[in-house]
Amino acid sequence: MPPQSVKTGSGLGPWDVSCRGADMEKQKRPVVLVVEDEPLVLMDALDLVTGAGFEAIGAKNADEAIRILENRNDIRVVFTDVNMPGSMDGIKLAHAVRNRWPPIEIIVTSGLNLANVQELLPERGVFFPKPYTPAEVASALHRLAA
Amino acid sequence: MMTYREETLENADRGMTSTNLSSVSNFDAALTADVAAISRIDAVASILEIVCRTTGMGFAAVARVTKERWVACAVRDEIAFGLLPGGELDVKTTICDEIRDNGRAVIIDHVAQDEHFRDHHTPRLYGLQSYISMPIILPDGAFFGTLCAIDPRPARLNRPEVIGMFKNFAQLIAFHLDAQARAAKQDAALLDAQEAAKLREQFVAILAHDLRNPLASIDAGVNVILRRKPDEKTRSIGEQIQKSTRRMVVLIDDILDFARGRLGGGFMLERNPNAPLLDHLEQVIGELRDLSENPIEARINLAHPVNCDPKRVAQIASNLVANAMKHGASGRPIRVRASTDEKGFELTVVNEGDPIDEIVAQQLFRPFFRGNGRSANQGLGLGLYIASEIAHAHGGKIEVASSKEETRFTLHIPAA
Repeated sequence: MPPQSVKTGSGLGPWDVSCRGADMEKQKRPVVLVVEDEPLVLMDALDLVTGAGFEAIGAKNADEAIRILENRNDIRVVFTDVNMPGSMDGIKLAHAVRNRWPPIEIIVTSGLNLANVQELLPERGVFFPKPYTPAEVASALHRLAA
Repeated sequence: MMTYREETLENADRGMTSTNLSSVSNFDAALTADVAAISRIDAVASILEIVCRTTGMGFAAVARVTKERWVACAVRDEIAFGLLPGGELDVKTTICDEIRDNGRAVIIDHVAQDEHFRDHHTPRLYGLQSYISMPIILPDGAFFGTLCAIDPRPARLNRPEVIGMFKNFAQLIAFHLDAQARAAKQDAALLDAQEAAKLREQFVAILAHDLRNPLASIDAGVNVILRRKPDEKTRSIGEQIQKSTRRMVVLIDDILDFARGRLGGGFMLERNPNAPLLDHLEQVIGELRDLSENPIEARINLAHPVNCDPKRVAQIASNLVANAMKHGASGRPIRVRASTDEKGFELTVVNEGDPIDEIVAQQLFRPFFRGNGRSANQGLGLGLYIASEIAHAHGGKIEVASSKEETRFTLHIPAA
């Protein structure tokens, strides 16, 4: 999606709906980057995202996710685990994404019992405790990437 | 005991081996600690000063005396006797050795006129004429050492006020030593408690994360397989794997609750004076109804707000209903009632299964209690324990009443 059509920091929906289908990417499904270090959980999440009608890309840690983000400009949502090896955990990744790519929406999930998790997240961040229900994640994806 | 003779101060074979670092470094750690303990008692310096002033004697000390060692812990030396704190005398050359054996004070006003000590080796060795040594006995009866004083001149020591003073000072020193030891023990206990708390946190973290993560992986992997439309056999195996992993998750959750509750000093509740309890109760009962072979009749009437942690109270309800499903009479209904009044909240879960033996009923709420059943699906025996702990955390309780007609569990939470 063209970055200029993006509203930032408004706390409202991310992408201007009016831009959808306005260009040649009309047919392209929105892209979701899934970041998860457990391979089977990553496969399951990729399935979930694909099944919900998105194009899914996987990254096994935050550093890989950043590299992917640096090389693509079509990612709409980052869906990340919290506890991961590497230089950043999911919370730090969420903030890095918000700072460097403000339009991208962020969903964070964790099996850890995080106190005040909402305060840890960047603006517009969405949190799901693990285990999440696929339906609720799918519906959040649709809402965020609409 | 130590003694004084000016001309022999440098003479080491008098048994005085003290005051150099090499001998200090030979101390047992315990002796070093004892010297340090005395040095930490501020009153000791004053005590020694008062002792010298009142008796007119030139040297006073607090000594640690063991079977093998005589170590000066604190010293007041006005006559250049030459012994410093940490310095040692050969214990066999001292009278303190004898005091250690019999626990009695030794008091000599004038050695030359003393029948017993006139020819004793100690006064002769150290050239002393007056001598007093009072045992320091710790409250537990152990002999620590002596409070003692010496002088090359005679002194009037055998008077009640002098003896009483020494006795009182010796007791005071013993009291301080004991207080120090107890404070040290409390510090150690506190460190132990902190250590235990840290271990518990690690234990909880291991349960919460390290054990659950692989299960989540297994579950996710099976999800991926099942989504790929496998043949019937594979699908059935996949579903069995998921059932097992989910059972394991429930067990881990129970142990986690146990660790947080029993080991962590009680459940942390997220109490809310207007808790949405109804929603939570309906949800857990709804979930269980789908799995139950017995009809579940629920009547929930929450007219008053309930100040509680709704998730935890729903956890109790879930546990009691699941128990009723396990032990209820086949096909007979399970009746769930939840109600409130000014006094609080009450939940009853009733089944018509076999009555619970009186003795078993008394043990139901103990951790890891599993009765006589040996079903493959049996849990860890933590469910009712956790439920009752959650009730306690709310200031409430769970009771059981069992008869031929029905078995009834009642949770009561008083209005806060």
